[in-house]
Amino acid sequence: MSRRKRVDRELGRYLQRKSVLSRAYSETPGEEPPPELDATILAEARRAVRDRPRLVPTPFARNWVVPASLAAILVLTVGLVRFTFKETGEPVLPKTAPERRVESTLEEMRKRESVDTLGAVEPGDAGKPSAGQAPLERKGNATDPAVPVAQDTAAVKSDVVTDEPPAAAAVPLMKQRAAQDRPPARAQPGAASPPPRRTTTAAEIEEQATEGDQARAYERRSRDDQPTAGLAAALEAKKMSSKRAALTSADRPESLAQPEVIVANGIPALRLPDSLTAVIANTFPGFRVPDHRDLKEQWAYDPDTYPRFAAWGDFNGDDLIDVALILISRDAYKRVIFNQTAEGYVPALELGADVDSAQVQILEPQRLYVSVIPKGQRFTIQGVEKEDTVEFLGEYDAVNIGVFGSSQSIVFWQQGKYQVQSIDRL
Amino acid sequence: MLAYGNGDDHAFTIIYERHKGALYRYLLRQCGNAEDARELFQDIWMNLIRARERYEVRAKFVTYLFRLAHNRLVDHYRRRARNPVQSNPSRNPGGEDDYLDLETLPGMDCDQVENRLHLKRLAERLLELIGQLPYAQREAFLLREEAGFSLEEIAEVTGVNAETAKSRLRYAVVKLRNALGGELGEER
Repeated sequence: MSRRKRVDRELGRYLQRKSVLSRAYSETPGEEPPPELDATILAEARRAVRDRPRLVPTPFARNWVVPASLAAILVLTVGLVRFTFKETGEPVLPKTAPERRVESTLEEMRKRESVDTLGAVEPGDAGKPSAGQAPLERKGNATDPAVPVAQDTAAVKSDVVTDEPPAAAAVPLMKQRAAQDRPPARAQPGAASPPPRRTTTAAEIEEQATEGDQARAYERRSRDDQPTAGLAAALEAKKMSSKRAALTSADRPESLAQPEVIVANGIPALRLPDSLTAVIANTFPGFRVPDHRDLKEQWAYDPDTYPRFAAWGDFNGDDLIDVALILISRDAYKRVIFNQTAEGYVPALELGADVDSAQVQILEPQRLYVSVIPKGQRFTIQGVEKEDTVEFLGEYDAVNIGVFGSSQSIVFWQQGKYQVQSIDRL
Repeated sequence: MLAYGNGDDHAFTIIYERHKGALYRYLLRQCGNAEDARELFQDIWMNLIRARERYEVRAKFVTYLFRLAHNRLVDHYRRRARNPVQSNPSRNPGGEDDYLDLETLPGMDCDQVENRLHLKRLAERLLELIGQLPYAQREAFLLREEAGFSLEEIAEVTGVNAETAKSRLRYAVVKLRNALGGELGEER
């Protein structure tokens, strides 16, 4: 009998509880927590439920809560529809206002920066302006009476912030009409990824801004325009080589929508394509892309490895840049791969859902990471045992997803879907 | 747990009494330190208390509980900057002898394994050997013994696939058996 078969037979006996190991283990001391610890925990459990009594609805409330909710939704919907459409049926969308952009204050720019450039999407951020748009255009700021519909939109969808232009932000409310009027966002070869939005000139910015503000403002411009030497020197913006290994191959199509790393004043930021930001906000409410606030522990900023929470490449061989992200919320995380399609980004694989469903508190998402394994590059993961060591050579770019010091998985595209191979490294 | 989430504190007492021993021993034998085990034990239950209203039945409660424990342990190891594999600092961490040394340990005479007293001594030796297993293998073994988990449940708790869980448990069983003495005849 081969060694492997003997080992498997032994494991089988053990799992059937026929092994002497289980009998021996049952003889080990049955330690219990000390009584004072029992008392502390049980007292806390009692105190928790007594200090926060749950509201028990009255029979009347129980009977009427659903009909009342439906009625309220109906009234709100009718109201929104009336405000949303003009007589012609055209949706009232916030208009672009180049003049307003020119007059935008630097404070407004900074606000946009914190929301947009850093790629953070958080619940409760609705109504904040985003880069490239006048703040009032975004969600119907109350100070602009010209856009009442957008105000309503912000009120209803207060947990969602998209990074799309105003028309896209309004889509959930007017899906059918907007679909007719507006072609879907798509990444096309030859089209620069986020469309140029700003019209402010560098000279105007220089007149008004402090040096730091100039740097930030220029950094935003640099996404669309060629940088000038003077302002470029004020920035630390640079390309991140390690994360982009897959993207520098000669056969990669240019000008596809893809993430971009920007460093200003020593603070890195990951700018995601607008359609990806919108998909994250709509599909994973409550979750956000990590930002500079999260750069600690294993995620502490290192130009060679930033960002640990994101990786991108052509994972499925369609010449479009796909993105793997660690999304975080207050007490959970998700590891999601977004495929880029002609219609924009779509979530294609979600790992860690079991963790979220079990509501396990993730104290430190920084113990997770993702990275790219470029296609054609041999990649070796050492297992616990020699025979567990895996060598990987992908047909397409692949994703290396892992927990520092623990398990590691390679996610690769095969036979029209993602396959996951996990390797134990403990 | 759902009953507790709805304000029934007696329900908490029941689940606590049912699972406290297994959880405590799992922690104690994983970190090898009673003080740390008590701290982790309390943290886990406190987290559970805080999360009571968000609890949903999507898995067995015991799986949920040990998943909390697993994550808390991983955090514990990382914060203490302790490599969980290096349970014995004299060994070569990460080296090939990280596990082979177990196989070279002198085996016990198990001819009288049915003898109660001998089983007690075997148990003591077993605990010592469990403490020397690599972290993941030790965890798989303890989850099997203390919580009675299947391979699938061990995989779910530890966040790996079933094959990895099986591999860990297989290594643990083989090493423990070899270390205790490969001549436990009645099992061959």
